[in-house]
Amino acid sequence: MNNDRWLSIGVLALALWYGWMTLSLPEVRLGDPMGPKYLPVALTVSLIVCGIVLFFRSSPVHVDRTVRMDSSSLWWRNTLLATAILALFLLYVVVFERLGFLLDTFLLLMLLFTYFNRGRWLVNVLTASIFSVVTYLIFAKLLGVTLPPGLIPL
Amino acid sequence: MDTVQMILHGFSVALTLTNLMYVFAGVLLGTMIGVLPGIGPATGVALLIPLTFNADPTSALIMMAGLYYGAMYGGSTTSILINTPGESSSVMTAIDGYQMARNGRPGAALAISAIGSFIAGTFGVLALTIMAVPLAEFAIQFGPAEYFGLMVFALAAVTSLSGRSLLKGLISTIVGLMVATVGIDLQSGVVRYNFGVSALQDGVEFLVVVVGLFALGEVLVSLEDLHAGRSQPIKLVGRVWLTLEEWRRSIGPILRGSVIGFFTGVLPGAGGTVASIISYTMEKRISKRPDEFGKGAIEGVAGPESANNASTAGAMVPLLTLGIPGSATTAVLVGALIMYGIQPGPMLFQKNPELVWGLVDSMYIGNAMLLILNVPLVGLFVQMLRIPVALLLPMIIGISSVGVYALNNNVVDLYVLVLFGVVGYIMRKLEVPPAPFVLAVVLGKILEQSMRQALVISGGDPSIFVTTPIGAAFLALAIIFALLPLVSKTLQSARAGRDAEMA
Repeated sequence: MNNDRWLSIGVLALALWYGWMTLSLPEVRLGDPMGPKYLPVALTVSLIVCGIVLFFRSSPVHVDRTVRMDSSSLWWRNTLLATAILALFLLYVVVFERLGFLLDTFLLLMLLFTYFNRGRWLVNVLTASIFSVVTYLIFAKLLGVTLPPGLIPL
Repeated sequence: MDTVQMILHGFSVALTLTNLMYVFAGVLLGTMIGVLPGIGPATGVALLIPLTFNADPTSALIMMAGLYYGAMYGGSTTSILINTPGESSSVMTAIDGYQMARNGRPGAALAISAIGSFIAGTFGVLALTIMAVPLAEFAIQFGPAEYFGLMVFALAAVTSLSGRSLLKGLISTIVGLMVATVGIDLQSGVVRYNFGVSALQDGVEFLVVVVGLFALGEVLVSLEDLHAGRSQPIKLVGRVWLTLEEWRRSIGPILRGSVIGFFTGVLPGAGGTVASIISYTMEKRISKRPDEFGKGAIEGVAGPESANNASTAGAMVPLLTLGIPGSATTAVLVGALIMYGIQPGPMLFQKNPELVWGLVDSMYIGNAMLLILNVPLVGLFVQMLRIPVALLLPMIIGISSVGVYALNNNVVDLYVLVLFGVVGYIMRKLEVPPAPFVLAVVLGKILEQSMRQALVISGGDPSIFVTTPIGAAFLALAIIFALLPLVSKTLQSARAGRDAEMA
């Protein structure tokens, strides 16, 4: 299936989900002719219309002729890469308070550097540590933001 | 105080040592972000918000605006030396700028970009200074119905001008409006779509949306492209200056670019990229030597570079006088204003004259600073192109997360950040323009409020939107703008059909 058809399906699913949640909203009209449900209903309907139009305008097969033959494997490689980075970032968020900002950020950067800036260990370790410490100092000391200390007692 | 006094008073705000430092920091960061491909001004301004929490709102805004127009200066450097636009608005500069650099005139191309930007930027700020007060006074009489019309117009313009597909722009707008409905409804007190998460009761933090959509989205796409490698920058030889002949050829394009850029910037949805395309097309059309375009014509650098700079000053006009942003970056600026507890809109000139005029006047100073940074010191920024992108991009992820966490010290915001990072990435992959989404998130709450307030006034009669002349005019403009892409598409296919018949 081509991208636009995927998009239309995603958009329709989102519209239905949002619309379903809208149904459970209470009907409150305190001197207000519209109430809190009006706009959400209008948005749901508009999005459904857009999704349907997009579905029928998109073609079921991939017809992008400008893309070369090797694009499919490249597409998979890129999608996999982006998914991996996002998963890594999600993991970073999950353990953020447990590990603490300094250690967590250092580890995240080290993993990304090791993959993208392969083989340059010294530069990578130095950049990751300096970056973590400097941002910590700026936010925690200069701007007074409480960052989770985690495993490193500060 | 009358207006002239206000304007002069603005200089006393802008010229304090603290604010001079903020302008300088802003334009310096702007130039750097401009030079680096992959990070745009919207991301830059968003990442700056957490850093300026403790600052005075005026200083913070001065710095953010400085970053915005500073990025226009920096973007050309990358276009000229490595044929990759540092910002999307420098895309036209790459055509002739890179050729000039290859023909041994990189210094002249860089110089004319900076000088053109300076002239156009200053012209733009001057026009902003003159136009702002009358426009704000006109807008002060707007009621909720007029505001509703205006916001619909802004959304329609951004939707129709920001991408190739009107339908996708519309989807982006609607989903953005949906995100804006999360949280307590201000009129009824009903909590909508918070999924039982108390942190979402006040709505989705706008900063989190922007950082996820722009910073994370851009970083992910740039990381994918990393394996493609980057071409070596052309060596900067000779002085960064112009010959007399180059001066003579550039002055016309600069002046025309200034005017085109300013008015394109005022219009919601258009902005720097459109301004530079219009300027380039026009210069090529009126040139006596159109065949030189694409081979290193200095007019093709001078015009677009001036236009994109004047557009930033133009974009400040609706932002300051109406409180309506017309682009992603100005939407971030409006979001920042709201976060500082300042209500954007025409009342700004009466309630916060120091902020408005301090900001406007700082733009004269910032442009002068940028001229110095980008002519004699441009060599320093060229060095930045040596920083490995593989190190830079992961650090942006780090800055994004600490900035978002700093907002409320709440890890929930980080989960929301991941979510919008995913959304931003998918949007880029499926070619859904992110600008309408951000605009809708920023405007959504006010849009709904003004719509409902208008209906309360009219007792539920929807004709109020079309019976107030100004409101009706805005809605008509919105419809015209929405139909614009369809009309131009029909014209194009008609022309193509005619050409095919002729052949």
